[in-house]
Amino acid sequence: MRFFPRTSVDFIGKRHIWYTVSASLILVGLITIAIRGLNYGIDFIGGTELTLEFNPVARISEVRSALDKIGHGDAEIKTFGAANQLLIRVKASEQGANTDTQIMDQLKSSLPNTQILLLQDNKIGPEIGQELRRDAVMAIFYGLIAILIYVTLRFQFIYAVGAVIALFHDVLITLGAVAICGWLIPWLNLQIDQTMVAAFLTLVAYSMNDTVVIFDRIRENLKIYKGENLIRVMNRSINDTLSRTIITSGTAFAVLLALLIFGGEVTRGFAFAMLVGVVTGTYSSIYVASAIVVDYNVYIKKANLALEAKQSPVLEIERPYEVAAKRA
Amino acid sequence: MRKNRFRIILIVAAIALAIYYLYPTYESATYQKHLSELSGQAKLDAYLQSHPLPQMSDSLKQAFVDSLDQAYSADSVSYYDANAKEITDAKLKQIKLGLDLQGGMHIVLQVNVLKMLDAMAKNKDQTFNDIMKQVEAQVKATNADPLAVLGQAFTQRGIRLSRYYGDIRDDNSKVMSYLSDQTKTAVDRAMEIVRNRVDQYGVSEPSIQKQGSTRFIVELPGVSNETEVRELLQGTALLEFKLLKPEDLVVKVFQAIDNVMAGKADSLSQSDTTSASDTTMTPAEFAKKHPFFALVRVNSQTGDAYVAESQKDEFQRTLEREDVKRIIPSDFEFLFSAKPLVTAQGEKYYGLYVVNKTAELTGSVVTDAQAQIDPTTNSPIVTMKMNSEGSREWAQITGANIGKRVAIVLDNAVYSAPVVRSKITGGSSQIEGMANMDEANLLAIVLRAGALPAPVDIVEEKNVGPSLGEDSIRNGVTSGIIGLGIIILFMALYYRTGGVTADLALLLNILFILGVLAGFHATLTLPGIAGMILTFAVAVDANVLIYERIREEMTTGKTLRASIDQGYSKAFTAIFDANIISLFTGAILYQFGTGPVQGFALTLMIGIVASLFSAIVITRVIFDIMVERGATSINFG
Repeated sequence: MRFFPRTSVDFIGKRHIWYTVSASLILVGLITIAIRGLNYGIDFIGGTELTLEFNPVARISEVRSALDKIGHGDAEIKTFGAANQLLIRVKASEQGANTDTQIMDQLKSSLPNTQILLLQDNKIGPEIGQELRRDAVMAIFYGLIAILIYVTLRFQFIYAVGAVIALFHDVLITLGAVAICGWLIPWLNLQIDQTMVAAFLTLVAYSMNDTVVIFDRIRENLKIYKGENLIRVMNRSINDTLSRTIITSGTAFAVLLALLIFGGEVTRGFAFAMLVGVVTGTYSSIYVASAIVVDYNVYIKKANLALEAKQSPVLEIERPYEVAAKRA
Repeated sequence: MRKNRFRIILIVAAIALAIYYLYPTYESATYQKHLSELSGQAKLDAYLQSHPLPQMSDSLKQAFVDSLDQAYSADSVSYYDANAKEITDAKLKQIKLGLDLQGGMHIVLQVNVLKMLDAMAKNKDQTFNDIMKQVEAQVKATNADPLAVLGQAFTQRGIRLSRYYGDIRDDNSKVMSYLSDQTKTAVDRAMEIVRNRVDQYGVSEPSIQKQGSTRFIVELPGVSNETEVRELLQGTALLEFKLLKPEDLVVKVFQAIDNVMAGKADSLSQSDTTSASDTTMTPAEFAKKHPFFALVRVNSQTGDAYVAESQKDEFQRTLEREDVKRIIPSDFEFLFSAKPLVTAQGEKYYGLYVVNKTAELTGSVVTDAQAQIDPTTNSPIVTMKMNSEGSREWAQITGANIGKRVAIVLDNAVYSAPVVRSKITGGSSQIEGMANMDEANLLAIVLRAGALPAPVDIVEEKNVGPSLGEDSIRNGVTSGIIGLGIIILFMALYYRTGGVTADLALLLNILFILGVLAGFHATLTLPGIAGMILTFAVAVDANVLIYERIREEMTTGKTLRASIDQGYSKAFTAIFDANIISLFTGAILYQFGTGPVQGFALTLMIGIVASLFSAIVITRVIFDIMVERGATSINFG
């Protein structure tokens, strides 16, 4: 069986259209983040998060009015998986205050005929949240540095730059997607927590993986077709690896879709971010990472031509000036 | 064939090793299943189903059900006792499930230096309280080191630190270095206190780890009672000195208990000593004739008693028996040693100490304890200092009990039971007989723990209920199987023979990942399962790269052998570069992540290495063998 016989699509030629598409997608995401903000998990801001099961089902408004009595009326309350499971989140409080026990006691007394079962209880002090946030930023930063160094060593610096820009592109688009979909589809329960950071680093690794496969083919084809136009070598390399690209992304996508649908609440955010990441990672290998390498080379060539054209007059102007300076 | 011989040996060895490490997991699951079958619940449900209860009051009904439950669960208890060692062994070696999968509590505790400084001060007055308030406010605002701020505040006001801390003659710098020492070691004290209590609380496989200089993480699988755990972790430690009961009396009581358990007349007078004839009995016979001495091993030379770790529960239940309770004198208390003795065979035995119920002295009189090397004997010793009030009492106690043993008990666990050599006056005692410096350090920590406060705050707490854990496992396994199914089906359809080979390699890959997890006692978390599912996709990618290359080579008209050779060698650089980067990312995640994220990073890293092995080495060997057997074409789809 064969999905893609021999293709010869001109990917690189159309790169400028896709630059615009990428830029607009990132912009939409950033605007959403600017307006709506990002929904951080309690890992990063500190606070208390309870997941409770109510039998029979309790209405969110009932739970909220009960919590209002102990000053937590502003708590975030939403269903978590099944309809009778609620997630209650209270922002960071004084250390040592047993917010979780207070909430449980209050709910038990306000809803005497309801059986309440504690599924999960997370409590994180604000101090820890700050540290975790710093660690997460450091993890992503060091990840990018490691990639920059490795790709420079194995390929060339400009390839590394292209790859890292592609990674930024993927992270920004996915972040935007998380913000937009978290807002529009509450079922996904998307929030920026430690698992989500893990998802971002993994999608960085996945995107890199994909980019490196294409770069590897470019490196090989540049040796075989010496002297040929870079754009044509790139197009050939992308077409050569296209079949693999589609199959690998396809299987990864299918597997992650299974995780998104059947994996339950805890891994849903992870699966969602990775799904978006697989798509943008595959796309960015071609239209960001490779395209930047091409545009850089085009720019160098133009600059060289311009330099050659300008070189002689520049020198003649400089020389009398130097002489004048010496005399002075 | 020869060049592949090494690879085949490697593959077979890897498979054998993975199975070897995974076997205890299988064993443990079988035991658990058997135990739950034996346990009352299933039978009870079946019985109630088939025998509808007649009309009766709720309390009567409850009592009836309880008695049935007890009768039924006796089977599982006796099965557990009979196989305790095997069950705990298998459990210890099985793949560890993270708290998110099996339920339990994860708590991060931090030593509260401010509280500690406050509690350590003596002769506190209004001035001191004012200074503390000022220090507290400043620390909160600037996040500075509390001790440094305290020192500054004292200098500003021109008050000597020795007014509240240490000896009155000490100068500020000496007091500061003493305080700084105490804050630095506070986390060790707090950890030892918590470890000791958690061990006694009876949590299976608790984990206590230091994190940074003032924090430590406590993980308690299968525990969900928050209030109880909070008390356990935050209560003040109780250090006591208790006199050991005389040996001859203890042995008499042991024999009496043994007689009662064996069904003989329960009188203290009848002493059927374990005579020479007993040694010729088989263990089973011995256990029948002397049930108590089968539980408690008494060293006939030293008189020390030991209980195997796997039999501690059974021992405790024995003490609870009404007929046994009756013959134990009321001021007897049975305590275990804090740390077990490990035999050459790896079996753990806890020392059993029989002590006076009332403590001679509590640890609040201890002012300091230091582990040192005795310059004359070159062996580790611990010196312990007491305050004047304590010294007076201690002199009296030691004077009246020369030659007897005093147990040092922290929260009901015995850390040491030295013999009193002479009357100790002046409040400075020396404890000898520690096997090494570590042991001496531990004892010093314990002695100080009773005296010096190490107040801790809970800064992070995660509690996963068991039902959510079960849900998570089910969800993880379901999505894993679906994802795996999709990949296996696709590969077989798209790459035919090549695909089936890759599928085989993928299944072996899963075996390897689980084997490595079990072998390294790593923890499988829900994100870890997600990492494994992701590894399926990565593992297949290597084969996709190779097969696409082989197809390319075959279209240029090369022979099968040459195409396979070229395919593998040309695809290798891409596979290598791509996976090295993933490995980097995994390592960085492992370094910066905590808990579940680390679990994810770990499975991802193991998965990458395992998948490279299975996708490159295993499939290659299979194709080579096919070609050598005379295959002229292999279907790559």
